[in-house]
Amino acid sequence: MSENLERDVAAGERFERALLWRALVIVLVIAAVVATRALWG
Amino acid sequence: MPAVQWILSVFVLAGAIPLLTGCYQSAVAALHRFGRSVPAGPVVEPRVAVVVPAWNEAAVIGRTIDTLAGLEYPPDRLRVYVVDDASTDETPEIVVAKAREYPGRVFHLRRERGGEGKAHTLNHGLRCIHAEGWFEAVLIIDADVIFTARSLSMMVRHFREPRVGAVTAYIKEGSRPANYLNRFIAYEYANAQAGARRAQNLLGAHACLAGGAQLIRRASLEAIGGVIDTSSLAEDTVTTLNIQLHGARVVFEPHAIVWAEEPRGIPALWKQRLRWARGNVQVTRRFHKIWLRGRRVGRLGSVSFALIWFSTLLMPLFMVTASASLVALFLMDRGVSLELFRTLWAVNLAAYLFVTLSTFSFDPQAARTSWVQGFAFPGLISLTIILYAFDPPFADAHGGDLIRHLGVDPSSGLGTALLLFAYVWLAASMLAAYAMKLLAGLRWTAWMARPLLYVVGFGPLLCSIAAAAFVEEARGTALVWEKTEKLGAVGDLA
Repeated sequence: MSENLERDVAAGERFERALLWRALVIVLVIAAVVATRALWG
Repeated sequence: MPAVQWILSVFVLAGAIPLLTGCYQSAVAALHRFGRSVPAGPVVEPRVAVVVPAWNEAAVIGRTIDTLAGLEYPPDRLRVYVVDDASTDETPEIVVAKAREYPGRVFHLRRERGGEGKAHTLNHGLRCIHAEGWFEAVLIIDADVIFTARSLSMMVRHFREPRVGAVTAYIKEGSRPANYLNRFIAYEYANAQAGARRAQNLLGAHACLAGGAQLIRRASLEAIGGVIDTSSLAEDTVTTLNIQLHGARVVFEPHAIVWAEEPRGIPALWKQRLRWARGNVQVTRRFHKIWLRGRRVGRLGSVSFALIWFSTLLMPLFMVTASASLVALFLMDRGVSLELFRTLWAVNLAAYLFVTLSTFSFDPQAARTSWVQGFAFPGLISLTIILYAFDPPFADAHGGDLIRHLGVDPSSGLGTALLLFAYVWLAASMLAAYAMKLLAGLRWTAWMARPLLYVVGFGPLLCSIAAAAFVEEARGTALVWEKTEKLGAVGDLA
C-alpha cells in the first residue's frame, strides 16, 4: 500500500471514530433545547 | 376516545415514520466505526476494467478518461473501455484520440445502433471484456464522473475479504460554480449517501450501488449472469440486490470520493429523479419475495432494511394519510387534532435537528457550502409550522402566538383556515412542489424556481416525484431512458 493511501486510510479511520462523539454532542444539544423549553414552559 | 379517533391518531403519528427512520439511519451511521474493518493482508490490486457508457459526451469524456488514466493504481492493471452508444457528436473522435494517447489502456467500443439506454450500452461493454477475459473486477461509471486519485485503491481494499462482491464510492455533487439546486443536492447526497450508506454497511444490506461508481468482482458479476438487467429503470439497484441474493456482500467506502455533475434546474432534476423513483417502484414489485423474509434472504429480509426502503418509497402515502387524518380529527374533536398536530411536529422538529446536524457531521465539507440548504431542506413553510407547533407558549412570550401575532383570532374563520392549512401542508406541499416544477419549466416563470424551492422545500419536491412515479407506473407510461444532459461543469476537485 502506498504511503499516500496509508495516510488516507488512517485519516478515514480517525474521521469514523469522531462521528460517534459528534452524534453524542448533537443529542446533548437537542436534549438541552428540549429541557430549556420544558423549564421555560 | 372512540376507536375511529384512535385509528386516525395512529395515522397522524405515522407521518413521523420517515423522519424517525432518518434518525435511526443517522444514529446507526454514527456507529460506523464498529462495523467490519478491512482485514489485514497483502495488497490487493485486481485487474480492473472500467466500463464507461457514453452517448454524446464530448463535453466530459476526455477529462474523465484523463482522470482515470491518472489514478494512483498500477497502469498495467487498469483498462478503460468507453462504450460509445452511437454518439452523433465528437465523442468517438475524442475517445479514439485518447486511445492513441494511452495505448493499451483506453479502448473505444462503438455501438452503431444506440439509444436503447444505459443498461444495453453497458452490456455491450461487458460482453466485450468477457470475450477478452483479462479483467478480475469491473468498474461501472458514468461518463461525467471524476474519480479522486486514490478512490479506486480505497475501494479495492475491501476485496481482501473474499465475501465482498461489490464496492461503491461516495458520489459528491461537483458542479462549479454550484447553483442553489446543486447545493441542495450536495446536502441531499451527504444525507442519502454518506449517512444512509454508512448505516447500510453496518446493517449488512445495501439498497443500491451508486450508479456512477460500481466496482464489481468478476465472480459476482458472473453469478448474476454477467450482464446488467435491461428491463427496469433502476438497473443499478437490481444489480445490487441480485449480488447480495447470490450471497456476496456489498460495501460502501465513504472515503473513496467521486465527483459528479448534477442537474442545474428543476425540470432536469425531475426527469432524472422520476426515472430513479419509477425504478424503485419496479424493483419493489420484482423483489417482493425479499421484504421481511428474515434470514432466508440474508440481511435484505430484515426489518431494518424494509423500514429504510419503504419509509422512502411510501413517504407520499404517509404524508397524505397524516394530513387527511388530522382534518378528519379536526371535524370530530378540534382539541384532539391540535394535540396530535403539535405532537407530530414536535417529533418532526427533534428528528429534523438530529438528521440535519448528523448529515453535516458526515460531510463537513458539504456542510460548509450547503448548510443553508440543509436547514431549508423541508422548506420555510414547514419550518414555520414546526416552530409554531413546537412552542406556542414560547411564541407568546416573544410577541404572541403566531396566529394572534398576525392579528387573527384563532377561533375566527381565518384562524381556522390557517390551522387547516397547517394540517394539510404535509400533503399539499407535494402539490405545491409539482406546481413549482411546472413554473420552473415555463419561460416567463422560470425565475420563480429558486425562491419557491426555499419556501416549498427540497424534501417535498422529492416526495412529489415519488408520488408522480406511482402515478406513471399505474398508468403504465412507457419506460423511456432519458439521459441527463452533462455540460462538463465539474470543478477542479480531483
